[in-house]
Amino acid sequence: MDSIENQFSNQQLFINLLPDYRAVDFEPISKKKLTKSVYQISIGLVIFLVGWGILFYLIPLHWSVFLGLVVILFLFSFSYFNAYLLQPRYGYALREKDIIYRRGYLVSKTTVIPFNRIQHVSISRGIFDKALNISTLKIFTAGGQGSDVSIPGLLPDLAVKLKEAVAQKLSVEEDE
Amino acid sequence: MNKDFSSPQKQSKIGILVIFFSVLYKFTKIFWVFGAYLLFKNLSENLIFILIGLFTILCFAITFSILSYKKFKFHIDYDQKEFVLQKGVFSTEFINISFDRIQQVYFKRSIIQRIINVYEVAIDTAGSSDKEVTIKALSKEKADALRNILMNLAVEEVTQENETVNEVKSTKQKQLEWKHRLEVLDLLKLGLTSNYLRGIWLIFLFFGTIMNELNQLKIENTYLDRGVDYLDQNYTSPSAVIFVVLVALIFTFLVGILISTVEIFIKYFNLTLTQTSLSLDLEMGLKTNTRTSLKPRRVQMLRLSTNPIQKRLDLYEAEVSLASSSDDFQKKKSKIKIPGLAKDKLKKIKEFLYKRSQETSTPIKPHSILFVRKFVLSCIPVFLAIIPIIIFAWYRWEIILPAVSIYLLLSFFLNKKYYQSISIEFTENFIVKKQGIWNHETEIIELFKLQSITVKQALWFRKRKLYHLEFHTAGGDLFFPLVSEQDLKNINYNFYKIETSTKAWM
Repeated sequence: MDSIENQFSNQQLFINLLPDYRAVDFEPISKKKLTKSVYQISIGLVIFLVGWGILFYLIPLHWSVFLGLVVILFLFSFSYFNAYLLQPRYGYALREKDIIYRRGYLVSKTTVIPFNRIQHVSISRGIFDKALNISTLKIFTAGGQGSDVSIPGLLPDLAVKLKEAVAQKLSVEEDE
Repeated sequence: MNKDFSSPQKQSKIGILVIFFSVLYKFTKIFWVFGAYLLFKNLSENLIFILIGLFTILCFAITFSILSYKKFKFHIDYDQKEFVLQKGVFSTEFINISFDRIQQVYFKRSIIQRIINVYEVAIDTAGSSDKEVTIKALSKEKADALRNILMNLAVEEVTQENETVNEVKSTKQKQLEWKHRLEVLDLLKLGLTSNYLRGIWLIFLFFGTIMNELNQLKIENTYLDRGVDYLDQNYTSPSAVIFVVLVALIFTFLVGILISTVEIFIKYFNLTLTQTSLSLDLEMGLKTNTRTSLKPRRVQMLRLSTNPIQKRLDLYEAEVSLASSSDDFQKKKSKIKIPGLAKDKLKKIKEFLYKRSQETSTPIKPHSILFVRKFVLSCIPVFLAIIPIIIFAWYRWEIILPAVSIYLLLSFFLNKKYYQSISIEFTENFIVKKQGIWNHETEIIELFKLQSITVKQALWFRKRKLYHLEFHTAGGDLFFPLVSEQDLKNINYNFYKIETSTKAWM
């Protein structure tokens, strides 16, 4: 009977004292994510430049062709810059009962997913991920696209650990 | 339990008719433009071809429907615990549904099915890849028997696993608590007071497709051309232009009302809502009569709406969002609208779904910059339109200036109204969002039904410390713009609620 005190408690709740999701320290993701983005953008740039070169040979000289080149170069330099700005904004944090993921520079988004609402967790690795030895952790909920989350640029070991940690929490939730 | 339906069965013989009409319907859907084209072109010359064509189509439809009737067989495999269905004229397809995956069995009836007095039985399954399975034509006794057997088997399967069988359940199920029925007069009231914009939009869509089809067939539309010529010649002065525009507006408005009313009649004819102690059963529709039952557990979001006129007539609408698989997430199918409810019925529905009385707290409003932003955004199209006018000096200022000032005034007024109407409440168990200029909407989410929350902040709001909130549920998202930093503490409370809840959200 001595355990009753442990089982039952009914403390007053102060909204201001509840744990604040913004008070966490976000863990950064691997720098290799930036390398991956740079590779991806570069491949796009090469494709566009080749296309422009073919056009340049095929059609007679015209000022609009050069304008096209300027637009392409401008857009891609913006993409590089954007990737550079995005990198430090990626962050994730695990709490006892939920996982928090933050991303985005122009529009910064923070999504909090409670463990007892996660449907399943998976790790995906594309070609670039394999070459750079990183992984992407995907977390699915029943809330559709807006509430699903994929955390890029995790070291494979860490991704597996995270996945196991989350999966363990899931099974604990289910046992209760 | 009696072992009915254990041997392969066909549908009712008269069901051939149902298949036949559905085949015909499909054909007309595909060929109607072509047919109209032939009719317009030269009826007498092509009459023989048209008749031959119609005859072949008819023969084909008849053979097709007889064959598909003969090939369509279903039975219940009690050993494998499956419902088996076999169909297909050219290739045979087998569909097996194990009992534990059967979610719901319900009836649907189109006009033809009602005329020849058969029932369409639809079996709703769990899982995203499978669509629901339907048996097009069964007699009432058979349909009832099949439904009862399948539902019993499904329940049995589930309860055997959980081992929490309570016999009270089946007896309790039939207890009727209250009933709501939409009479013809109610429908008329609803039609006349509903949102005409939808009707007007439908007109545009309709004419758009017709014009598109006609253009593709390169038919010269002489009437339209002549009409445009006539307008060009006779109505050139500004006052005449305004007159024509006004007449056109009033006409579209009237037709919009008519179409909205007709649509409401077709959709909600004979709407009946029956409340038993376990579920809320809904039946409605003129063209296809559907029956569904709502269970509180599956409801993710509730939206209540009304407009000032409907409020006076005591007509409220409830829209229920159900949990749906993420594949057909955007589809409207998982949303069920129940219009024409009186206020006390609305309250009863709420009580049934939430088992709690209404809670209130101080509403939170977005920052007033929302109003400024919306107003400025609405001005952009005007300025974009004015630039070419200034450059090319197209039109007379005596028309443009009043039009622009009316637009700006209207936009100012409407956006102000919108800003006044929008608010969000965080109560102990709910999130309640209210908004709407003409249609007042109230959206309610029970906290433990939330899946996750996203907080967004654009770069240019970082200084002001304003955030957008997005609440994700399995039945859709709820968005609320521009709340201040101190209001975010409510989010922490929401997580506390979600994370300590052990109730099943679906």
